[in-house]
Amino acid sequence: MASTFAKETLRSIRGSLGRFVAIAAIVALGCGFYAGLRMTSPDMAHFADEYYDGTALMDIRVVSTLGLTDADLEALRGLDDVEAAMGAYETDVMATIDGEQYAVRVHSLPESAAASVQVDAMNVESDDSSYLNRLVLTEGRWPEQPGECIISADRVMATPTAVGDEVKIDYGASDVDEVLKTRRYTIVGYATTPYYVSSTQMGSTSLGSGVVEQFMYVPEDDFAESYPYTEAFVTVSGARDEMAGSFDYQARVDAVLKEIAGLAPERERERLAQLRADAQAELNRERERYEAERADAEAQLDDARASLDAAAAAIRNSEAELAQGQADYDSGVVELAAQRKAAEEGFAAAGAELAARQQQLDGIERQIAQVEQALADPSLPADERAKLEAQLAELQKGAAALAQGIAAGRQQLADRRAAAEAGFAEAQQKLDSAQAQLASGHAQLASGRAGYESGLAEYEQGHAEADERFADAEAQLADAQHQIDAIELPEWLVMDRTKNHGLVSFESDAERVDHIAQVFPFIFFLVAALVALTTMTRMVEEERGLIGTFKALGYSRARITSKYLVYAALASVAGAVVGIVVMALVLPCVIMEAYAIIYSVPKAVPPIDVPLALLAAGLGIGVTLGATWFACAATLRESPAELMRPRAPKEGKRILLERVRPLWRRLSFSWKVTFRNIFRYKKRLVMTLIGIAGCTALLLTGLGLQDSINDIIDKQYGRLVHYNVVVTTEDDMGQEGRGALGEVMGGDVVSEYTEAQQASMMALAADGSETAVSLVVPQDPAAFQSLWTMQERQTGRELELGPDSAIITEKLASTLDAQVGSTVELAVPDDMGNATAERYELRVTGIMENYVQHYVFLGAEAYERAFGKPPVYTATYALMDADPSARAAFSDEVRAIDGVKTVAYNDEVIDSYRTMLRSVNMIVVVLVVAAAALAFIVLYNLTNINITERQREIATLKVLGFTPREVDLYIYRETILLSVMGGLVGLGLGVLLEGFVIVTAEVDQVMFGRDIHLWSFMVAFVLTMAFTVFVMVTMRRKLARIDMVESLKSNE
Amino acid sequence: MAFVEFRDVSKVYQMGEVEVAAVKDMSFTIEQGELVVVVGPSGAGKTTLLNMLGGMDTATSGTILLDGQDISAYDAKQLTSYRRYDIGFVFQFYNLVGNLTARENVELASQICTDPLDADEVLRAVGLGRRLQNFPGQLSGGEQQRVAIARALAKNPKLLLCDEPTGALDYATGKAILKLLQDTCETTGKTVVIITHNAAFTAIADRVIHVREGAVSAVEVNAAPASAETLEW
Repeated sequence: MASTFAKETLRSIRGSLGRFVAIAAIVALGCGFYAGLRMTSPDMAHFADEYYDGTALMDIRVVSTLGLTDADLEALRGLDDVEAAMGAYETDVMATIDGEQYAVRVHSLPESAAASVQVDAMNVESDDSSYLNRLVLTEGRWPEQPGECIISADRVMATPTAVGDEVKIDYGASDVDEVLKTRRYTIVGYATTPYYVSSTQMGSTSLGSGVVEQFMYVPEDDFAESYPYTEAFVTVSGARDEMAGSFDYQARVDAVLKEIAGLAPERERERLAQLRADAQAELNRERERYEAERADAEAQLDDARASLDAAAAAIRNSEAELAQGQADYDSGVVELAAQRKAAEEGFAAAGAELAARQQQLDGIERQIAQVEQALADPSLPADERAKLEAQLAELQKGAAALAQGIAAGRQQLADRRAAAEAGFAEAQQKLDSAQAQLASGHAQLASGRAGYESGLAEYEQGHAEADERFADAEAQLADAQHQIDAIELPEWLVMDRTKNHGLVSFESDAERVDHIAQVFPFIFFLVAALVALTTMTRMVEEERGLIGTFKALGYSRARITSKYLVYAALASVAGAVVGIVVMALVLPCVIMEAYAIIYSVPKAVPPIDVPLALLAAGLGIGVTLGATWFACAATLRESPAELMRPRAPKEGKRILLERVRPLWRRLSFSWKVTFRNIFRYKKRLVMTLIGIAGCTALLLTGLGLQDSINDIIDKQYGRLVHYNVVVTTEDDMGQEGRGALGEVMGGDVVSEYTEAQQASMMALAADGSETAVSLVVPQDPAAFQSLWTMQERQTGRELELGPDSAIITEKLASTLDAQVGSTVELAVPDDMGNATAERYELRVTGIMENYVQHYVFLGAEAYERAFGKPPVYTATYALMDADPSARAAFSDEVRAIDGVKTVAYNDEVIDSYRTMLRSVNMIVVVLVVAAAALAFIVLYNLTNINITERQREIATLKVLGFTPREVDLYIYRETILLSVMGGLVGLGLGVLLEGFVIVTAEVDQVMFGRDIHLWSFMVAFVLTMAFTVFVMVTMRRKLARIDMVESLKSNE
Repeated sequence: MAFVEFRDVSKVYQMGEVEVAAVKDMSFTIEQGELVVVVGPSGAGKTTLLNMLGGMDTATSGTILLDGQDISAYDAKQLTSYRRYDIGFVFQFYNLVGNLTARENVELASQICTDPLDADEVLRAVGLGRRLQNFPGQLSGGEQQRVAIARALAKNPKLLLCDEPTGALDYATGKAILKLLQDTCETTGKTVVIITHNAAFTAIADRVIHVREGAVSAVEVNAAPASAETLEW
């Protein structure tokens, strides 16, 4: 058909470039938006897949309750479809980085990391095929020695740090010192990893606020030798070739999940046996050591006993000796006394003899004296005298002999007495010395006896102590044995990627984009159809005569229609190609850029998804061609003769508004003509209304989205939450710690504080799904409510938290489908964040406005009834000075108190949310640009048609002497009116669209604000009007160029 | 002094490389209150003459005076107010605004003037007293032309310019329109200029200007113009 007809078609394009471009542009916009938005989700999935494959992200994670061994890893590797398996260590800790405390998950960094090659942001190559979850180092270097670490490159959730900063581990979920060799680490680098693809969804932990806030990789050697692998990462053969998350991928993974599940019982049993055997051997060694120690101690005791016994014998000996000595002495004393007595008797006899002799002497003396007296008598005869004298001599001789005998006897007696006395003295001396010896012997014995006694006591005490020690050790050993016997069969938890919060969150965000993508382009397609319809109708009308001529020449209806179809096809194909190529590159990039704030999935030039592109192009082109065919059909039915006559101009008609006489009378003719025109050309009315309404709706959606998201923070932390710091303490914090904390809280920087119990729980919905919630039981509900406003969102009614109340947050209520009066089930989560078996039931008494996270507030009585124990107030909510230095001092002071676990400030949360929300701004920009494009195309088209169609009318006005301004207004009044109407309709439409987007885009833990601000309504409306004015100003030139003479010269 | 004066007026169109003179050194005068018929064959330059006189087009050279004002020296803005206040146009194809009723079409013009006539009265005067509320589409050709004349008159212009006013009308209607124009001229004393290729119309004119090949070939003053009713062609 390279004919004249074809040439004519081409020329008509050249002759009406504006029209051609208008169709191409709206089709470009429609197709582009559709294709771009629809491709975003697959593109996100595509890059995620590439990133996961390029960094060897695990397909399966195996965790054992009792750790894993190399044998377990070998067993895993031995499975048919397991490609690689890597054992790894991890532990959860609370750590202080740059003065702020975070819940950090510490991982072991495989040695192969340092040797890996980073090809680009998505691909890390390593010779070690078992090196999984490869890290992409973004800054710094790999750890080279113990005590060095790498942390997340993402700074959203954390205050900025620098290489060289220190990470100080405060405490852990388990005993840190048993797990890690050191508590202090130096940051040497930053990395991203697909294992933590989302900076806001790193997983849950039993520490801190219940979520992991930071990850950290330390050298494997920094984990204690005795610490078993906590987990094994596994990749599945062939899974890499499948799209992550696809059905085929999941099928492959599921097969291996099943294999591992089959392997698990045996491994679990073996692990138990091994653990028991190891422990038993250890225990046996301990027992042996104990036995040896015991024997040793007992021998020592026996020795002591023997020496004590010997000492006792010696004592007894010396006692006997002493007794003998005493007896000897006593008999000596008796003997001496007897001797003395005998001597005395001898002396007495001798004395008596002497005395007798003395008496004899005395007798003699007296006879002498008598003789002498007789002699002295002179009368005495001499004879007699002589006789007397002889007698006297005799007597005197006898007396002298006797006196001599007495003297000698006396002397003899004295000598004997002296000798006896000397003998006695000697004997006495001997006795005395024996007595002294006896006394000292006694003293010695006494001290020996005392020594013995104390030795005995010592021995007995030592014996008792030893017995006690042995009993203790026995008990310990028995206990250890008991523990060994009590080791339970470990449980293998086998998890695929759907259990990784970040990966799931990324996938669902990608899906959300697709949900929105399915709705938004509808407006564009609708407008494209209307633009094509009005434009082509106008074109067909303009070419009436020409059509008539062709018809008269014998061209078939189909052939003539084909001209317009070809025209429309060329325009729409050109538009579709340009639109799809541009938008398929731009939109996914912009949206991924926005998501890059939260996700570490790298971006690159997105591929064009051909089937989707074809679908989009098909839709756009189809809609345009359909509209064109419709525009042609009516005209082509007319006969050539009719066609060659100018078409009777559409009759002026009275419109409904004219019935409202008082109003109509007050309108100037120009308004009247405006109203009549508006209702005369219904297609244009609909096109413009929908186009402008779409424009306003898009603007309002963008702005409203921003409002809603900013409201999360503004309302949550502006209107509802008034505390700015929460301090949590150990359950069993001592009185001293409490006192110290109370003192700090009572200080100047804190203006208000109150205590509460705070616990992480799982709420269970009817369908069995679990939602993580924070349970808060305030000690003093009134004080608590002055730090946390509890109110219903829609009514603003204050909710009272009585002792028996249970108030839940709004989003939780809708998630659980709970109303006031409903019963809600809670459960305690285990370490993996899954609900445990026991259920606690609560009756909801109020539903409160809340935007961030889910909370259940309970009165103390309600708590006690549900949980069967009184609350323990371990969390202190406080409002304090925002001054950074005051805060730093406060932190130091509080953390120094024994028993304080965490100190958390709201500002950190607020800042991280603000950062995340920047992503929304980009979406708003996209929407504003799209809205502007929509407004331009529609208004340009409307104005263009109005001007060309009403050229004569405009020329007439000019001839009548209308000033350019009046002419502009005459035409633009319609545009303005339609814009205003469209804008108003658009505000309504925008509210619906925004509502849809909000509900679709909302994430689990957050409720977006539900209100669009008045300001946004105003901005959306004013911007729409601004676009309108811009188009009007642009089109003024075209109006001014209308030449009166030319326009009025010919007949139509 | 003449009410209208053309002094050596030329209009040259640049058609690519070629200059085409539609009007060349044209000179004539018209007195106030006259009914003037400009007659000539197609392409003689009649419409160009009228366009320049009506301020729709500017002269390339020469001077056009109306009531002592030099129109040829006006800029676009002055020309607009000139058209607005001083000129009433009637076209061959009426150029009514299809979306306005007869009365509104007249008001369209009268509302922008300083001293307009009452729309209803003018319409009654042109014999459309009962068609005030009708849209152009509901009116016959003659009626539409009457609306167009009423619209031109309602502005109370100094000069009424009619370009082939009967060109699209049948004989009887055409005659009625000519009669209306003639009566208007007589009763209101307005200067009326009618352009036509139909030489028969010259009979009713006070002054006839013959135009041929862009120049005035003859001007005749008709002392006793005939009534349009008597006209035959």
